[in-house]
Amino acid sequence: MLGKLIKNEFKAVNRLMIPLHLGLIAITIIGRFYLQLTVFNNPARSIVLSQNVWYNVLNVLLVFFYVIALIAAAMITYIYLSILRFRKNLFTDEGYLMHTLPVKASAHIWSKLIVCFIWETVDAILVILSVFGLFINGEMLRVLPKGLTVMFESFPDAFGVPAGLGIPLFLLLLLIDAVSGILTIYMCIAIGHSFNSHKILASVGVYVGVSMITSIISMIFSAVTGVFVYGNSTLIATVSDSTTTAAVFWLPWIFSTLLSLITGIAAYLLANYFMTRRLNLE
Amino acid sequence: MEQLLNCQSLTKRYGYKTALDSLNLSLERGRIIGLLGPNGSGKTTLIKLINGLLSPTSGSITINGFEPGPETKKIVSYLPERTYFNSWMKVTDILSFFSDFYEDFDRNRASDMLHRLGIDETQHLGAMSKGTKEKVQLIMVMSRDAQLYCLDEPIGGVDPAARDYILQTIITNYNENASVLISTHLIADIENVLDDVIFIQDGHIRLHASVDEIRHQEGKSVDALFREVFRC
Repeated sequence: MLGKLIKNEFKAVNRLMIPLHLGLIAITIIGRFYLQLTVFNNPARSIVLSQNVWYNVLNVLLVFFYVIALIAAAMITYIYLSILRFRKNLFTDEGYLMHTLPVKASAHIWSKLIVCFIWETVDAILVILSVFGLFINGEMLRVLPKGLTVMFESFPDAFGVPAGLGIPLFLLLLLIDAVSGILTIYMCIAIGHSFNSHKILASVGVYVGVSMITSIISMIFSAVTGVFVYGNSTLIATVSDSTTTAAVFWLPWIFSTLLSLITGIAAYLLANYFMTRRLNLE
Repeated sequence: MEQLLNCQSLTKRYGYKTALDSLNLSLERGRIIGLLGPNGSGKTTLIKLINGLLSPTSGSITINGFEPGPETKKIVSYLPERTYFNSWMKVTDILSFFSDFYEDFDRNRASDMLHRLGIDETQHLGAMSKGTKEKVQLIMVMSRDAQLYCLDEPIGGVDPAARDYILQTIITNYNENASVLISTHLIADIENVLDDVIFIQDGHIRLHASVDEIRHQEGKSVDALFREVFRC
């Protein structure tokens, strides 16, 4: 049943997600052609052109438009998949169909989570590729390996662990945090919609409450250890002595991972409970 | 055999408002039951509780011995009082959706009925009139071999000719193990197909009797009795 739910979920969200991301790819290709023709192929001419104020205004506008488009694509993907789709499909009129299917509430949560996660990952990869695809040229490709080597070598100095360990662990934290963030939103929507009225307000209220609790926990942690942790990512703001110790990486990493895991699991269990036992469709 | 539906002091409150007040009700198999009552009497609340869209404040509800859940949703076919399909869906999308999720869905039966009512399977729901959408939804719901059909206001928005066809479909489509629970105000229209009636008012059951009993004992039609009982 989960497979069928996922299939239908993709069918529904792809109607927006595919055109949105094709648009992103199209903007990248058009932008690339523009840069190729004006800057990369003819450096001499581009220097002459850069004296022209209108040419510069045009370029600034184009870059502005491009950045807005990138942010919009990412925001639409995030808001549509993790908030709007979940709420509309399960807690409005469509919910009358979805909740009378012979499947468990947990299957609904998993199907939405999996599809949301896959599309958000695709979106993140496409956004990164788009930036690369737009600006990369032979020169950059040549210096890139050297730059990366320098980055990797200096990684232990900054974070106290080798890059080969630190980067995968950080990516793992990012993944757990992304899933946990989606589940937290689901939980807020599920709890909010168990109210008899003001369901959206209640959902937002629950979200604010949960955010406050997790940030208070993070603050207590930073006060105790002197290492700053922000809900989503770990940032080492101050390092007291000159040599960075591994603890500076491990402490916040373990803390953030545990916090994300606990919030994620609690959010899943609560969302499941409220959708099974406290469903309250108008 | 287990009773099809059993409610024990079933209560549902919305805040301070009591929609159902310790309701006791059991339904037999093989009956067409009219759930009749004025607006706001608790008809829709009862049907939503049967389908697990609401949870009881107290008391219990069982279908075939199970609390509402995946087990009962397999055997209950529900027509809500609103349209729940997306306008971008085609009729064929909906047919596949129902075939995917309901083992008891009979696609051929649905196609036959759609054909009879002149509904094009390739049409988008967004392009249909409200009445046509209601017909599509009713056809889907009645094309299942369910044990309990819950129809909430099934004939409100369709024309009298389609109404007759739909009622005919309801009578012919269900088997002796199944029951149909129809909530409506249009009593005169469905009176002839009903076996039993339940009068519900302010969350209480006023009357649960067979149509024959009413005709014999009261000497009047269900419609006339309803008007008398619920006189404003």
